[in-house]
Amino acid sequence: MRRTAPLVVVVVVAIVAAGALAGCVRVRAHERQLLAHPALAQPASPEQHAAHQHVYQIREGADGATGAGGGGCGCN
Amino acid sequence: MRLQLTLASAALVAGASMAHAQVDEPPRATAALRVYADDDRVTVYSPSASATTLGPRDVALDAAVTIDAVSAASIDVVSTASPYAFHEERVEGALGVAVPVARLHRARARATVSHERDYRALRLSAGWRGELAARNVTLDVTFTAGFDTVGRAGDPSFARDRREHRLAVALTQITDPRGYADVVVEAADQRGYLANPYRFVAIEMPTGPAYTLPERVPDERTAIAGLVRVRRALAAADFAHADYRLSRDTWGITSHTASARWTRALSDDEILVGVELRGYLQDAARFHRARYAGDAGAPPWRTRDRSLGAMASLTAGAVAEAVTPWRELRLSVSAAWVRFRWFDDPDQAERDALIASVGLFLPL
Repeated sequence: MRRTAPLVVVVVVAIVAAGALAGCVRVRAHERQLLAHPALAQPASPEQHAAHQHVYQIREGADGATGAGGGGCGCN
Repeated sequence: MRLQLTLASAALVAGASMAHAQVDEPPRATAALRVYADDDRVTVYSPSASATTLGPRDVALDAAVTIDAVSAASIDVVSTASPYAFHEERVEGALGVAVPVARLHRARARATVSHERDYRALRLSAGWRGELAARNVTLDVTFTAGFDTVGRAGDPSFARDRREHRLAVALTQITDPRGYADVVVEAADQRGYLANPYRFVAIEMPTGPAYTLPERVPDERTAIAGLVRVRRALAAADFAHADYRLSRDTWGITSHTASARWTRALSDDEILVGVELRGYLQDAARFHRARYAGDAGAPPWRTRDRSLGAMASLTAGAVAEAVTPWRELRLSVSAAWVRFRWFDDPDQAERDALIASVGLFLPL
């Protein structure tokens, strides 16, 4: 775990910063037309994403943190 | 099975990352075919089917099945894992449920099983997703536990356990009316038999012939990865994604991944075309060697797993999606070229691969 300690610190700082900033921006429902576009979904192409992740997991030595964030537009 | 420690667990990890996407999506049925082929004569066909339905009280259920049909005669496999070419299949099934626990909050659970001739895997995951700050923030937490049994073809007495635990936290913030920012953090802990029972490592002697020993790696590995991503509408019909990921583990591997994607919408958003570029770079596990010397005795840790060496990969791909007039059936086609490069492999420095997929998505 010692070798991952610096990254853990960075991650914790990032989470705290993200949490502190979360909600600072308020976009109203009627302003979210572009946000609801399928090209902004994550992943934008689920089938392509799954196919690629499958290969990367096999051939590369690292994985993780590739999943979707949230991302519904919250329009309704 | 010869690809076991990569194929089965990788598929399950990829499946786990997709799990919440499936149960949170509108009811639909999907069918897809993925193909992987490389210039080392490895081909994998992966047909899959899944369905998501919405029951009473907005409870979502999903089921999925995937088959991996692997044909291989690669120098990689032949020289280090298996003495002959082979054809094998892996079958994976999954069931998931998502339950609304409050307005804008959903809990979910999923079970995935995978079986092949000499590898069994089970993944159980639970998660929660909530929309916060007037739906400007989405927070998603997923915990996954994995229980695998590693076998060896032709040796029914060989069975080794492998355990895995993963915790992923994803936060998405709407940054303005044109885009999102994502922060994703995932920690993984693996314990048990983490080597490949088919892989043998040559130990070179200063005098006399080399001899081989079974691959042996530490039985614990902890990794943490963090990703930041931005998604933006550049114009009314142009969209971009860009992300960077940093990962590090207790075996000494640090990796950097950067990717970018551009998408254009055509015909009133009924057609999407996109291109993607991805670069990956990692250093080697601290016990990985291009060659192992035995003059001071057999090295306690030894591996021929090239994914544990210093390497890089570059991916260039394209995707097209279209909504058809018939019941809004959506068709997705993608193709990508990947070049893998290993910096310290004495047998093979590069490999080119093609990844293609075709998917059909029918709203229910």
